[in-house]
Amino acid sequence: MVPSLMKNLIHSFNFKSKKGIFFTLISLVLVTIITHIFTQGTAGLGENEATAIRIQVLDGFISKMENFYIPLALESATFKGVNKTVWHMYTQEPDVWLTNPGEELGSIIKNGTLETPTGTMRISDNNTLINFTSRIKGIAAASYGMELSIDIHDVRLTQIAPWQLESRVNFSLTAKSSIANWSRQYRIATATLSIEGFPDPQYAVNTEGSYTKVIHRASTQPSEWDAAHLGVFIASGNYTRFEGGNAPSYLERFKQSPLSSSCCGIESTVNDALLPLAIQNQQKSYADYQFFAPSSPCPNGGQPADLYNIAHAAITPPFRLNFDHVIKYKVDTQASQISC
Amino acid sequence: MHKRGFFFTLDAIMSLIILAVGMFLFFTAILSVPSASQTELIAEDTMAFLSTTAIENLNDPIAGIGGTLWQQGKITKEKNTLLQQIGEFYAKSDSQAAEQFIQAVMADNIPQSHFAQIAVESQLLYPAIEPQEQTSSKQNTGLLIAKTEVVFGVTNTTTFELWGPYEVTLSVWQR
Repeated sequence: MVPSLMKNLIHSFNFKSKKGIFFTLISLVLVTIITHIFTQGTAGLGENEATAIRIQVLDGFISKMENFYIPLALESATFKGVNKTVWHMYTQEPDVWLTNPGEELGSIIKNGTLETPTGTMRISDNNTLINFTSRIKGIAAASYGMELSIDIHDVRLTQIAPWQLESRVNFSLTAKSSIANWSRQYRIATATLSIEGFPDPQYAVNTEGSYTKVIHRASTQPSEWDAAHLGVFIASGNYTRFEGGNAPSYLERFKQSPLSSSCCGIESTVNDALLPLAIQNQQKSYADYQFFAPSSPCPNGGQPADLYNIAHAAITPPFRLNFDHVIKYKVDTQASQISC
Repeated sequence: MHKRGFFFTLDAIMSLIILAVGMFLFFTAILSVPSASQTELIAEDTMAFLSTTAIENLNDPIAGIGGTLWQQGKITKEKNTLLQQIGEFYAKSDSQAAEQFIQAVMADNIPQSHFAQIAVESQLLYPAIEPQEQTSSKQNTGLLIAKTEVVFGVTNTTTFELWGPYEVTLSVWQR
């Protein structure tokens, strides 16, 4: 059959029949079309498949970074940032207090710096979110041939529960590779951290680091309080929460004058024996936020003060509370009012 | 005249059929490569097993909860995937524990007909020292499948030390 093509061609060259040329041309056109279809089909299939697999791999990498790495990096940067900040607050001269802890700690978590009226302070170097995200850029370039860019717009820390903080980052991610580009704009990643294990800035800064305390939640239930439980509570240095109390939240404790928090206030009691000598035996309530607040021993101008000595075998004196706390800790029978 | 037209058309169509069959055979011959299915499947299944199985779901006297490495305090986080645990050993520069761990978890995954190795950030962890037989087999193999995953984690929840991201590469080939 194939030689007949040649025959057609020879026939055409002999110009004996114009139809021979016509049929030869038709067959050549058809052969060309079919060849083209075959070559396109086979080569194209492999290429498309390879591209699809590569896109899938890169897409998986980006999703993993977005959904798992950034939240984990945020958690780590928050933990490091908060700890470093407290340490920085009491080691500086003069002491450093925050004015808007949620935002300022966010900045420290993001890039390690704290803006103060006197300038920019570097709090943290290697454990910032920007530092952690730059590690992904390296692996994206080296392993996936991808140019990755992550912009951290904003990091903010909020108190979401008495014992929990939420760190939230707003970021954009763009990735460029030879086969596709990705763009994820203004994404939010969050990390929830327990405050247990974090240092309390109130103790650290107000005692110049000589009496530091780490947050641990007491297991005592509100109905269980009595002088014996209070004695254990003071000795352990744990924290508790009273519903409807005036205690500040953990984040508020980064301020020089912390405000009370109805949702998230927590408090502990000061152990007089652990205080620096200069501030021992104060005529104040030993509930921590009242102890570290500036106050006068006789605010009522000669009237009986709202202050009670607590005397019990389980409690090492001196230990004083105001009336509100005497009731909360259920030590009214061990309390005696201090006269002005 | 009309009959000749039909003849030529028929002739051309039959030529086309022959050419088409010829091209089909030619291209399919070009595209046929050594069968990748078995090696590919071993690599894919092993990587899936390592990246989705948590320590707590592993019943192994060396790598599982309560196993040798757990009792030695080298494995502490039961929620870690096996791949994360390999990354953590690398982060702690404990290549001996890494090799012991990988050996334990890979034992049932790689058939005798195949070799496998695991490297983190291009550092070979399993086997830590490649036997000569394996090296020459790798050099002479016609097909080596390498699967890569990125791992990261925190060393513990007390200090929140972030490690990674590291690139873990699993290579599988036929002996």
